[in-house]
Amino acid sequence: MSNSTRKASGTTFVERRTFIRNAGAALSATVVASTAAAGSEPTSDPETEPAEDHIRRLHHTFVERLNGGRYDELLELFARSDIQPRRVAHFDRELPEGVLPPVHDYFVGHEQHLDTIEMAPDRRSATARFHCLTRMEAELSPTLPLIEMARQQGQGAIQWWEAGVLETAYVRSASGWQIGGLAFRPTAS
Amino acid sequence: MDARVFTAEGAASVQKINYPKEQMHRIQYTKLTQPQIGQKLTQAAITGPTSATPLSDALAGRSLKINTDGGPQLTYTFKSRNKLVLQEQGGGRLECGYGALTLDEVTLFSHLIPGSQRGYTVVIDQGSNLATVMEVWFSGYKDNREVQRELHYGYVDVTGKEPPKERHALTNRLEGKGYHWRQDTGIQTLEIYPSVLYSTFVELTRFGGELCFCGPSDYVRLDDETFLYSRVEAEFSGTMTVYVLDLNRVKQVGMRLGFDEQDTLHYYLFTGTGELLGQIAHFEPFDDHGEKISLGNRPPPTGKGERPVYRPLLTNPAMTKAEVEEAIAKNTSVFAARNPMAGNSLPASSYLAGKELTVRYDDGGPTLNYKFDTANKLHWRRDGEAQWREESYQAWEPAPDVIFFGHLLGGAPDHDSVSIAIDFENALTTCVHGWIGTKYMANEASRKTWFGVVEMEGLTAPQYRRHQFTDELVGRALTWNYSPGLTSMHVYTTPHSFSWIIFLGSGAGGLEWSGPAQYVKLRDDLYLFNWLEEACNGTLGILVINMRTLHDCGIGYHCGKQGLSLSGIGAQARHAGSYDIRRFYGPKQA
Repeated sequence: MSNSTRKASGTTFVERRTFIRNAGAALSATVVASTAAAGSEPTSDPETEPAEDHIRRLHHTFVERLNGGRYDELLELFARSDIQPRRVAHFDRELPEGVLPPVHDYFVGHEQHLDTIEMAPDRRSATARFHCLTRMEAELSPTLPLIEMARQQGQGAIQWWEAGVLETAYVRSASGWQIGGLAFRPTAS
Repeated sequence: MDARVFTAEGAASVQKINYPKEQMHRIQYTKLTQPQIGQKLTQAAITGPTSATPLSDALAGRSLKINTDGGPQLTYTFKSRNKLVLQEQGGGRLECGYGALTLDEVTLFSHLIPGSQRGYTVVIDQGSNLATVMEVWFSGYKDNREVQRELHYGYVDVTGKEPPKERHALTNRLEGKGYHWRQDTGIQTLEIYPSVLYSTFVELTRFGGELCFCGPSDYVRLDDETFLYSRVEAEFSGTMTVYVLDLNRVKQVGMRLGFDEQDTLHYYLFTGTGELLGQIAHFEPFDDHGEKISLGNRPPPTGKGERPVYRPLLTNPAMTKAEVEEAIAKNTSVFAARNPMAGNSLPASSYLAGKELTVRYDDGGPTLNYKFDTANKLHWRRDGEAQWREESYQAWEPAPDVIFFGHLLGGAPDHDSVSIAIDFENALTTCVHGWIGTKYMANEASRKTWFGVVEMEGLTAPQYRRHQFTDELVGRALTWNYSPGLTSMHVYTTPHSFSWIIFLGSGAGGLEWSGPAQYVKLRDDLYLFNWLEEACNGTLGILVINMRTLHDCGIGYHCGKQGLSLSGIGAQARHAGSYDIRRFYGPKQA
């Protein structure tokens, strides 16, 4: 019971915060396999369904899992373990003292449908764009006692909302479509 | 009762205040085994709790069936004022000793279950038939002696009557209140509720009233004037205190269960009368009445009895002297950049740059010569030494012509530091000398505060006037916003301690801890405050608090696995209110 604080700070929290920085770790599963495992997520036949539909469903699965805090189920949606999604790359702005680069925490927008999907001529890769509102979360520096105390009650981070475009690269492997990389461009500062 | 009885031997018969040999956070409470606890509970489960006030016979001869939402169904047959028969979930009949007390329409009764390490404390509102059942048990955490609890909300099932739809519920309506309680046992406490998860308590009788402590707590609204409160002295004795309090009449009836430092079981009911000492602000949105406690990005607790409990020594395990030396050799950090504790820092001051001066402290304190080369480099030496030492320092000007600065004392065997406030207008200075290591923990900071004068060309030091300790801040509560997302509240609870509370995302008070502290008056509305995070992470913090600007500047001195650090602190304050508690402290004639 009461040692739940330790449990939370030791596992769930850390996993969440490090998800996209480390995303792509164990990525052998296909989209189809992942969606089947997710229970409520729809399944389909990869041979007969258009690639665009696969990508939309993959995107939907990604957003649903991210928004639902199912971070450990996100990793399998990515294509390679060495892919570092670029969600922090465009946040090179001035951040408050001791704040680590932010991570996406929650997406809202357009009922989570993709605005555009650009398919490569060989239909083995694609890029999709998604206008959205995203809640960003940036954790504070981890070494100070007060911050550690705050983390144990679900704080120790700052959050804010940003509008922008999420650009996602998709790649098709032998086992299906997966996410190849993520980038987010804020539309307003 | 808990109060120690002084024997008639020697001075003990004269002393009226019960100072313990060790304060609560220093007591090495026995790690009781489950069999030891079971043996100690055996008799109490048969006899029920004791009570200085005669037990109520309000339930004697009655039968009650209590249904709870998702919790136990309890059927009671009260054979007398201290014997009952319990059936859990309609199961076998268990005869238990019990006790009951009433407060207006509310009846609180408590019992343990023979042959087990658990029991129930139940609160029934005879008017509404609503019931809150607090299930309690030992041996549910790795420290077996720590009482665990789970709250179940429900009602008394009355044949032929529709079950009530309402329930007792968690609340923030007590948040911010503070009381002086005097029990029928003679025990007196000060109790402050600055959080929805924790509370602060000062044991005036049991521990001499020097320090405040805190523990995870529950706050349940029974109706608009009647509430249920509980706390567990987690990380200490593990004792639970639970009571119903009536806000208008300022009365309580309650139960205390746990093992003291002698491992003696205390299981008793009590009544008490109180005095409201104040109500500080709380910071949730106005529509938030605290029925739910959101833990931000933490998953909500789901396990039985689960709740956030700050266990500082789990987060910050004690280090050996060898580990301390190794960590410091690897990393010593002096005023590192990107420090969220200094996000709202005062600007660094260059006031001292180019100055030469001596600070001379009384009563065997140090005398230090200084040459300030720049705004962040100085040379110092002890008076009489030939050799100067260079150090990095940082300085701020928290009030006109008052400078606060600090640095490490290079070459000192215990990695000493000094944090010094100089009032140039009055030629006075106070130094908080810190060093690493106590007799309890090698990585815990110690400190000594020295008062003295500053000597410099153009200044004439006073002969008698000095800064001095004060209790002027005692009772006040200040919020401190260090950086976006990092805000705490200080409650300056006793002249020798304080508590700090971290806010939940809703603005409600959350986790809390307490530590020894000192308060020094530098000028009117300007204080030098220091605290030690003892039996915790070992930090020594030193702040200069300006009550006119509600801004501070300060220094954190810390040794941990990451090494030694001297770092800046800077935050903006809001005055949250105050408690009328200063009159409870200080030497008194009984």
